[in-house]
Amino acid sequence: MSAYKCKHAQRDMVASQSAKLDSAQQSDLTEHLKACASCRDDASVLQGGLDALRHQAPPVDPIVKQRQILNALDKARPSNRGLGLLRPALLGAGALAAAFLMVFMWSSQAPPPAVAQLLSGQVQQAQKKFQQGENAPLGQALAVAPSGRAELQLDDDSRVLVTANSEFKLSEKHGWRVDLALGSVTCSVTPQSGQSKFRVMTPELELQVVGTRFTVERTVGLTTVKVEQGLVQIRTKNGKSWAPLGAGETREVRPVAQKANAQVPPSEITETPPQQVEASTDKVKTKTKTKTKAKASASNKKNIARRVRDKLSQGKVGEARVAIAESRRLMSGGGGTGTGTPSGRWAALAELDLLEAEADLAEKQYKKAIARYLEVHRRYRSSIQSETALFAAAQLAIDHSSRRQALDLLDRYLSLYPNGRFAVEARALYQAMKP
Amino acid sequence: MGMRPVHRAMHEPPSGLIELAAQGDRGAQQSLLEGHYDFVRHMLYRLLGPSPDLEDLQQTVLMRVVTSLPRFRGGSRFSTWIGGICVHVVKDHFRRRKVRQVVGVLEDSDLERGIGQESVDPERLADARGQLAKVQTALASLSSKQSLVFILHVVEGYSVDEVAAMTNAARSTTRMRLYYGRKAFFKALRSSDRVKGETP
Repeated sequence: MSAYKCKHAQRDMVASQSAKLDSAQQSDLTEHLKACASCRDDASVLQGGLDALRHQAPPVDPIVKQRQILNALDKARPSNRGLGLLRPALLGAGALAAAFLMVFMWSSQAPPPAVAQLLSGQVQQAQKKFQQGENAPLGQALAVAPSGRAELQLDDDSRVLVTANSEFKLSEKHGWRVDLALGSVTCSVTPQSGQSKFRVMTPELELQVVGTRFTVERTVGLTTVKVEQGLVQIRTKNGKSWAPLGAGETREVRPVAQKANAQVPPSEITETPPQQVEASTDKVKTKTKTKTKAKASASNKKNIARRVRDKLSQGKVGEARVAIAESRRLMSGGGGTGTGTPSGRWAALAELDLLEAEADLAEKQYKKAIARYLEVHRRYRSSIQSETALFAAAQLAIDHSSRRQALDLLDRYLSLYPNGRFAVEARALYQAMKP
Repeated sequence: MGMRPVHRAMHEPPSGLIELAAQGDRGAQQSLLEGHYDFVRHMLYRLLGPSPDLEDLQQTVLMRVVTSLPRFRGGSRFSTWIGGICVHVVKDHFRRRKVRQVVGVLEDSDLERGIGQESVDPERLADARGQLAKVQTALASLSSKQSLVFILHVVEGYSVDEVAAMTNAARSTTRMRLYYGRKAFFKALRSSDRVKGETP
């Protein structure tokens, strides 16, 4: 007993917090605490303080919880895309398949035709639709319906996910090439062999990789590249040098045509409205040439929209509103630049209305923002912005409006876009909120 | 008498569910995250205190859990493994912010939850606040590594081996940190009593 000192009591007081003391230790500690006032005080403070420290976090709204979980799953998806533990097996199988293919090519001396198979969704070429399991036509302008998305598997095992309202073209020559006119493609590129490179082209940008995962998105005159894994090389259209872009980085590229005397690259034809993509390629090319000049000024206006976005992100709402007004003036034909394709102007106006809603949001005018989002949804029904606006309104309604309105909006979103970009999250939110 | 550490009350998810989630099954991943959501939240809250960064860090932890699932070998409890991710995320956060804030300021509502009752009487609340302040002061006197080990072992109730695994440190190092941390903690506890002139 006499050998049991304060330091032993302190040791046992701490040890008792994570494990049960044996009876001898417990009785020693009890005896010591009876005799030593300092240790008794320490024990009391320790127990009280630790109990307070073991407080529970404030309860969380089930909707917020659901949203956080879904966000985490969505953000984590890229690295899981390779099917986790199956990835090595798939890589091995891919290597075997490649070896087999090489032997086959060596024996036959004839390269097999390139194939891009539709894993899910459907694409449209003119009036013809290609369903899941079919091979997509190469070298043809393709479109994805406003309410769908399509996933293609290329013959090198690379995958291309194309979102709703996208217009693109697939071709293969010394590696696969995706020409993106509008919309968004997410590419998971299998490491390329030899000199071949996987390439994505937009009117503003050229991108090449040897194996990685990235997303290229093109809206009104703006191409955005988001690299999720690995490294890609990008350059502006007709640029000379390549710039590397690493994992986690995002780059936005605007057309160079807006500069004085700049030559508008012929590929800027890709700014055709969704309806026109269904027309034949020749028809599209003819239209393009006549619209090239107009598009240069249209891209100038889109730049203003871009500046608005920057100001909003910096919290300069007042300046953003001024820029929006200026942009509207230009769009409506003031300043002699009211040209541009109807579809381009239409899409840019939808974007501006979205920005107005974001400005309302930044000023915490939630009801107004909801109303404006709904207006964008109604007015630009067949645009990409319409889907975004409806979901944004639904999300805002969850926190800042009635439960009933939120449920109505989510319901409307799911019925209009059952396979939309936010369908998974909308479905989960709907389930969580359902009475 | 003390509150039971949260991780001990956690049920281990079925290994089939973890395997399925590791293979990329979204439903399994969602089920795992839903099952451990509160655990992650509480652990981060204890390590961070009330912080505006709590939501962001929780999102980061949940994301890392999903991306790291293929690397979970089952060598420890699943909750311990997730706890390790929480620790790394919090350490990264402190390193990035160049701050060391192990325990934040608690509100009365937090204390009431800590005591385990709602609307406790003001005297008890004042006592709890006083005891908590002393413990916080004593913890602040430890080095960041010592205090992390101390919190995980003493507050969270993890064993030395589990703490070592969670902090990527050797067992002996962890024991050393705990030993010196304990000495410094009690020294600080007693010196704060002397400074304030309080009678035991």
